[in-house]
Amino acid sequence: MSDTVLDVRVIHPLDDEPEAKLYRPELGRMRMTRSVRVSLLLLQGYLVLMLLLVAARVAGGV
Amino acid sequence: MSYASLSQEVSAPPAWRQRLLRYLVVAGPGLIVMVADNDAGAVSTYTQAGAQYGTSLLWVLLVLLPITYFVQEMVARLGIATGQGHARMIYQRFGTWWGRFSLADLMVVNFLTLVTEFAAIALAARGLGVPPAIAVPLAAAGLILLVGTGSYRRWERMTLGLCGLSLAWFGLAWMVGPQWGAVLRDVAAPSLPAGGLTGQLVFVVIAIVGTTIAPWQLFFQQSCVADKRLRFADLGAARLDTFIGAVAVVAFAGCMMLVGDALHRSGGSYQDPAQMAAALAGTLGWAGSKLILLLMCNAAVLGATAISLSSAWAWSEAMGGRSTLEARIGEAPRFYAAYAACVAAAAGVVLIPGAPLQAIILGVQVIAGIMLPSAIVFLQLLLNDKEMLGERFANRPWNNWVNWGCIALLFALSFILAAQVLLPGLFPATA
Repeated sequence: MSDTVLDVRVIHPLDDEPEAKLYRPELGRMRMTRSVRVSLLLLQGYLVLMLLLVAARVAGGV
Repeated sequence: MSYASLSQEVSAPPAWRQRLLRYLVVAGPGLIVMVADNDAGAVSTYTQAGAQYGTSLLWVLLVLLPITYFVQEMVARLGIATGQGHARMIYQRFGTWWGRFSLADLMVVNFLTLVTEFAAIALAARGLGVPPAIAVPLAAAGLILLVGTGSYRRWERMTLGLCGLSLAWFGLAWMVGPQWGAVLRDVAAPSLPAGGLTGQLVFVVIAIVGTTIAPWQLFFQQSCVADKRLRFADLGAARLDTFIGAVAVVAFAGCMMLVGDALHRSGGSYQDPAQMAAALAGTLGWAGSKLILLLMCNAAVLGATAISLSSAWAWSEAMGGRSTLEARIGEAPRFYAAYAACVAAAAGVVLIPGAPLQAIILGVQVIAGIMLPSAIVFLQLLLNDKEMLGERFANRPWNNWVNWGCIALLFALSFILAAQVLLPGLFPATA
């Protein structure tokens, strides 16, 4: 019985047919769950604090 | 012939060969983002850390290995799942305000970092006997030509070639004759350097963390994965690519620390790469010292192309229009114009006599340190967006525990940095 080994071929992603991805523009903005809202609020607070620190440092002379 | 007998005669190719081939076609974004992360600033940071503290901070790199991998794996997964760049995802899912904030933050930090890359090219070129007025425009032109071929694959191959040159760090680390016993001890048993916790040590550790994980890396790898059009089935290979990249970045960084350690042992000090190369000439010889300068140039060029691309991808994703290396210049004018403008402007700043390069380097460290935690928060929220990603690509609970741990660590380091700025006496200045 002949035992023919198949060629191994992998298609480069750029040569392959584009696949349908999970992102759809109609999804719009992320739903603002409590954890998302809290994360963004904390981030805003952190950024304001850091900007104030940098401003204070610059005003005081680096 | 029945279907069953056909399957008896024809044996399937070994699974490992299939996996290896898939890895080879998928590899690139993870390796490039990691090796490019060892840019000129990183070379300075790691060698300085070695020169000041010897091998005693090697364990920090080992701690950073999983953190780097987990953060970048998330971006690769997001890019594969959505087929979109990071900037576009932030715009679409968090709205214009956060989109503009992230874009502006990225563009500013990237531009300042690019200036430092060209500054390093100027310094290293001077050490090699090439006037900066020639080396800097030449490097800028080369960087623009590198991406302007209209072929992602061509850019990727050339960039991987540049990444391969970084292997020479292993040779340099070997040539400086490390004390392997001390190296193994400092990797395996974390401890503070002699002198204990000082303000300088805290600053060096924060600089190492900030150098190893940078905001541009998130934008770069996701856009790169999307540009390469990696498929869902490529996720495993993309993870391996990212892991190998993470190991490479830490291994090269370790080699740089060992090179710096040679100066620590000999008591030498330096301010810039040219002085470092000169100080090591006794240990490495003339060729070795020139190799350091060439590797510094290579690191700066790699960093510059990756950072400029992350800016160009983000800018054109946010502004609309094509944003792919597969397009010719006329087909994606906004993308290529953004890339060329970043490169040309940064090179131009370096050529201005008396430009405040030291202030720019300080500015990069401060702004990047402040902004990194916010970039990772967006990433974490996007990876928990099950409405978009579904169960398959969204974070698992253990992912979230690891990532919130990384975020907490980064916030803590930012606060320590801020506290040091406000209260300079918080830690003793020296031992």
